[in-house]
Amino acid sequence: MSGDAILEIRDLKVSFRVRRAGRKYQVQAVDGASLSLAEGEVLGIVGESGCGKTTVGRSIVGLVQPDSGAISFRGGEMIGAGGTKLREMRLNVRMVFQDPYASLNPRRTIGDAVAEAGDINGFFKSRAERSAAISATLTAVGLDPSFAARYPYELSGGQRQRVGIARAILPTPSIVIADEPVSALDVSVQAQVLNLMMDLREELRLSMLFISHDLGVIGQISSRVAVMYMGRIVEQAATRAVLDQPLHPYTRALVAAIPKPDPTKRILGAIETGEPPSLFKRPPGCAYAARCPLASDRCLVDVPQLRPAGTDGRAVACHNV
Amino acid sequence: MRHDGAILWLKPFVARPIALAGLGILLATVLAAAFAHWLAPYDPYAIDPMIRLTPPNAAHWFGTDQFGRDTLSRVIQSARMALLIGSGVVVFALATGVPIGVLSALFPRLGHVLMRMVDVLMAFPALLLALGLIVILGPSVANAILAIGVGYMTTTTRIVYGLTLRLRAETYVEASRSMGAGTLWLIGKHILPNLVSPLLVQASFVFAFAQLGAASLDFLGLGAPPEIPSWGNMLAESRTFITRAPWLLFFPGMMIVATAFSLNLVGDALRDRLDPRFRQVFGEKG
Amino acid sequence: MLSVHDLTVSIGPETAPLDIVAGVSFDIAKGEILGLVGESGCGKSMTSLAVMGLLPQPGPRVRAGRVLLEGSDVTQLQPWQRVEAGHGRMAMIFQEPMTSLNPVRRIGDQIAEAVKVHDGTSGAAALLRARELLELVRMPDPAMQLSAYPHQLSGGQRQRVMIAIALACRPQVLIADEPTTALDVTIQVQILGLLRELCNRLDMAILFITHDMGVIAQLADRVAVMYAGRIVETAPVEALFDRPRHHYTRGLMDCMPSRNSGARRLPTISGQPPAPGTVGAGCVFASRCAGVREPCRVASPPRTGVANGHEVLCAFPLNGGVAS
Repeated sequence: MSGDAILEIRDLKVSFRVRRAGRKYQVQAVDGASLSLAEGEVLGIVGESGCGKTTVGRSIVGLVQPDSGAISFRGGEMIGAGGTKLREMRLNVRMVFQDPYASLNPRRTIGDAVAEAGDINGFFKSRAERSAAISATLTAVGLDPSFAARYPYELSGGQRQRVGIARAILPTPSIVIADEPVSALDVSVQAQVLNLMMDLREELRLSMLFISHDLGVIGQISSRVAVMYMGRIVEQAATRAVLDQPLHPYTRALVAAIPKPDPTKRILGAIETGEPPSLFKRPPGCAYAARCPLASDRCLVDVPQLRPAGTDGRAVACHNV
Repeated sequence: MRHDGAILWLKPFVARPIALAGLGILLATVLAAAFAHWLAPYDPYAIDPMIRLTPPNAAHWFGTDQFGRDTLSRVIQSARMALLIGSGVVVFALATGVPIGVLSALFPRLGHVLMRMVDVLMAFPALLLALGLIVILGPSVANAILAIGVGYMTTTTRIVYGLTLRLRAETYVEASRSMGAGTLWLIGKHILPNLVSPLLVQASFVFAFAQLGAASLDFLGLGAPPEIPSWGNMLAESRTFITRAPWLLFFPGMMIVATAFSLNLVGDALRDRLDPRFRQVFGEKG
Repeated sequence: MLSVHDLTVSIGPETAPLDIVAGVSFDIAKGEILGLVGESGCGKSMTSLAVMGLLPQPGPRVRAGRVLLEGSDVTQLQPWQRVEAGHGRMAMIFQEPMTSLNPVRRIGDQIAEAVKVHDGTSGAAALLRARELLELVRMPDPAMQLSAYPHQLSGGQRQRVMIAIALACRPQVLIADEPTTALDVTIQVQILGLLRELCNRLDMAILFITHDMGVIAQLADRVAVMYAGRIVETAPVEALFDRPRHHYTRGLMDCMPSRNSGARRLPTISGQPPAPGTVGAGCVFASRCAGVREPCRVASPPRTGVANGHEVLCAFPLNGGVAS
């Protein structure tokens, strides 16, 4: 699997210091996650709020400093890299953010936003080249080139998110980290933006890390998915396998809890899901044990490691499956 | 769209006559200062013992002082000093407060040291701080600007620091960082453009309070040299004649109140313009 | 229980009003959950605020129509005036419970306060009732949680507290405006289950507002689909999902990823909803409709009954997925 991996994350650990009621706490946001993204693949990361999925994405683009672990892009280490090597990685690994309203500077034009990566890194050789690139990129995301002169407040949420995507593909990167890119959008707009991302992935041959809490969206766009819980990856497999036959008890709960758009298949009252433990008080054993119907004594003391389960590189971190 | 922007900026003034009046007084003061030479009916320095302490009349609308100088001409001439001190203080407060505030917010370690120093300065009352500095530096126009400016540098720094901390956490700043933007890029492209509007408001308040500060220093004889006409100096010179010639205090006093008041009105209107709720109301109507 | 007739909410001057809710009618019976579904800006939240008597002042106002609670006209009354006039009780819960809870007061006191207002009971009795309410909303360890502060609770628990406060007035109608949108799916399923259970146990009428067709399918008895300030389709939930008759409803269902997994592209609804005030003659959905015909652009479509309890605002409704 690592042979053709374009991005490889090994044993990533990220923690934050938080102050609550005068006391200092250490929150382990990511607790030893390993992932590999193959060339041209879309890997989904799914999990509930606070599971660390966004922190993984932010670590890759250098917005947070990991405590330990390795993130390598095409075999080169990204953590602590500098100079031209870092520049090359920054241009090659780009991020699309969740909130289309907060992710654009209200005082800068759409054109400036789209060209920002190129401007920062001295990519454009002339003004003409720059404006041609902006026009071409806006067209590629389904916006009229005249948008370049406009300001964010003139755009709808869907249009802003297209700008957010345009900003991530000029100049064309190898990898796009998409952090909940459609969660803030209406269903009908969500479908348009998802289609756009699928088209761009194909045209530009992008590899993509698609972070979402919505298994429906993940199922649509990604071929493989990693399920995160309390900073760890608990299951990793082909998306279809996860949706049709989840192995880890947490994945099962997650799949079962998706509100299915079919009134004849009601789940209310039929499933018990429990509450996740506080991030400040991490249990010693498996973090899911307190909610888990399969939990045994071993789960309370021994943290399960991700181990292969079945074919297709499927892996699961549970003592009881 | 920039054209629309200009109209939006004027809207809070048009909607409120009192703010428009403030803007009017301010413009009149600026014009008076710019064209003092032509506007003043007499030479503000010309002494005429024959007409000492004449009350306001057709020839001397604001009366004359103890040397027979025309009060109106001196009030007009004084607008220059008022605007010089005001803009000097604003420039000083912004030129020091903006870099200190921005850098403190972007570099927490540096900020920890700098902001504590600002806190110490803020613990002194502004006028006391100004007096102390004048005593050390000696009275002059430049030193008056410096002495008053230090007091407003601290408030400006605080405001800039708070705003920058918030801007630093904005998603678009993070997006920029994720693409490899350096500190200079972030400051130039994302932070400063978003500071312009709130700083405009801050500047108008600083300008207003600088008027009061300058008048106080002048009155105490620690500001502009006594031979230069300024509203504060006029008050100081004529305070002994308060019962015999009240107009000598009334007109410069009124000017101090009027400029400070009008600047506060303008500042309020600008702040409303920046308040998102207010903007929404206008957005719907426009 | 709750009956809304031809409700029209407008903004702007009296002389040239802009209708953001235009002629909305629906009924909810005791023990029934009506799902009101639509995209952002379609007027669903404005409808709920108008029904509740909580439109922000100054701003939008009810220009026409009536809200009947147990047969009494309460359209122009604020919630407390309705209670004083003996017209029955309504309560509302919102998307973000943290903004509705006082961060520096204990949960128990906040619920007890609502109890005091409605029951007129004092100290210990109110606190006892607060504990009962927490049990009713299935809060784990209710006795302990009475003394907790909002920040000590999880998002799901906070929403349970909000429901408890809403129940303090023994409402006959509960309006829930996207109460699970900010929650994780595993928590969402619990809150939805709780609302269903409370609806049955307390015989309440619930108006459930959401943008999520999946949630609607799971929870609602009947559904009203809203678009550009109008209800474009009303139907029992099974009928709606089995045979959507309006092209918009059909479009909304088709573009849900979970109904399409495996498809290479998602079907989409082209274009964007019209801004209020830009609606001219003809059907509001005409510019985006896949089955648009010439008459749609000139004349407002009729409201047609296509089956028992199934109405659609369309001149050429879909028939089992194919245009008739």
